[in-house]
Amino acid sequence: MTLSLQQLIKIFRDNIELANRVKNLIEKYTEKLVRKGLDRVKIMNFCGTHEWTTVHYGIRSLLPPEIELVAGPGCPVCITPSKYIEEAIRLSLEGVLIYVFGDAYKLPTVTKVNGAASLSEAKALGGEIEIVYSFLDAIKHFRENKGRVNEAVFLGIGFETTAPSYAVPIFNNMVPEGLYLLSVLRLTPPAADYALSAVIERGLEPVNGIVAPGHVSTIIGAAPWDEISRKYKIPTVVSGFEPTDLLLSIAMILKMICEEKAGVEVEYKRIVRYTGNQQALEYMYNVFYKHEASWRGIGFIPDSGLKLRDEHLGYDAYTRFGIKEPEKDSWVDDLHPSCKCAEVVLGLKKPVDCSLFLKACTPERPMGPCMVSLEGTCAVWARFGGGGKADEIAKSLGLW
Amino acid sequence: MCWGVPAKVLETDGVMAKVDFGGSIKDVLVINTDIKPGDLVIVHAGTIIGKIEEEELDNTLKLYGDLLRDSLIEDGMDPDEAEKNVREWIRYLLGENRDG
Ligand code: SF4
Ligand code: SF4
Repeated sequence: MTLSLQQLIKIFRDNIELANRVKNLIEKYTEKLVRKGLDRVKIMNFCGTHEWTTVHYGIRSLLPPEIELVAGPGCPVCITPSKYIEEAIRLSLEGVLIYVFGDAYKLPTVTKVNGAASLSEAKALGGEIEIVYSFLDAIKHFRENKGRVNEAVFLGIGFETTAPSYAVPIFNNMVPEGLYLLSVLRLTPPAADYALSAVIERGLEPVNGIVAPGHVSTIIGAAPWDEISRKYKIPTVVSGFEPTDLLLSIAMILKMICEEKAGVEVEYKRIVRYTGNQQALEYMYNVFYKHEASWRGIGFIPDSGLKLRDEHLGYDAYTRFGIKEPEKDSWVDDLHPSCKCAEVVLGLKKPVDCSLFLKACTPERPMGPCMVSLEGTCAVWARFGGGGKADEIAKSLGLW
Repeated sequence: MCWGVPAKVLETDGVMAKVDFGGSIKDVLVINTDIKPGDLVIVHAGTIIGKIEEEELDNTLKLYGDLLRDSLIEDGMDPDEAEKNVREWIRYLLGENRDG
């Protein structure tokens, strides 16, 4: 057989019969686990896109009640500390053009800066802000507007997936003078490690399996997940993004739990290699180095962020504008007091556990970061809320 | 935020490439030196983050086939029979979606 990508996507998106058969397999493994005495299986995902697929296609409602899918730290927008957004707002109001991904445009800060609590509010107050799809688009825009715009900063949000889009132009001297990067890049495996240990520390039901992010793993490979899986003695499957990819990955995880196997398997074989994309990693670590970085509402996680290396400080917004990163000793949680994003991000709570969910906090007027990005867990739950599918899911989870 | 979109590479020039997203043509960054015209790739934030290995597409369905076969055998089906069953089912899936 030879399959084209369109065929595979069609099969994995639309073939109800296949989805049903995978669902039957999941039920079978679950029965087996129950017979073995495991009647709650908690599987954590670390990717906003996986959470989107899960909710959009109602995956939770397809699973036996014993299987709980929880969302971990899966979206770089949600975990970008307020301080960085505040700095970007301040610069924009001082006439420095800020480039931002659409996802982060409405991200709320905890403290207002000159009356603005987000970049979108800063724009309304006359701040210079431009929404772009990529660093490359910002480079193009900056070149075309040279003269009108003298200095600009790119709000460099992202996980490993996005890091090469900054590293390639910087390494190859493609960035025009006057355009700076404010790196808020964060790394996924250290956060996964942190979330898994938080679950144990707080005495919550342990996580029994991991669905690892497909596009992050395209860059870093499956190997880092192998390490984490062995540390926590649980299976991990690197998954693709179609609904049947996800169901298949869950079935694989359950089978591995039945066989008491730890370690990693790759379902998203069409793009993920065990060792990742070596050239991408080379670019990344030629341009950046790891540091102990802050996560919104969570605090500092060792080796979880990327900073520009000395030889590239000419592009560094921190250096150029004297911006200080948050410090560990003076770190205060940067969320609205009632917002439960930190726990939602760590998979310790669900959006419906937050008293503000769909009341004071909505996608139109977000109070917390998880309600902003298209892939923020609260936003995903809210967007499909009020309608049939989300109600069904919530009911099947016993939430509403 | 890490949406990856499949595209076909039209031409490459050093660290830049022109790709076709099903009709809309864009300039993107290239990480890997072995990317060439005709390759099917995944683009994220204006950058080709990886190549879709077309041989591996079959393997994803095979993963499913393996699970199904194991489970049939576990249910007591004879291994040859299970193998036949899996093949037929996959052939059916492919046939159903021929013109995808
Ligand atoms: S509903 Fe809003 S306030 Fe509550 S956890 Fe989610 S983002 Fe935070
Ligand atoms: S690939 Fe990365 S950034 Fe994209 S949704 Fe998944 S975890 Fe988030």
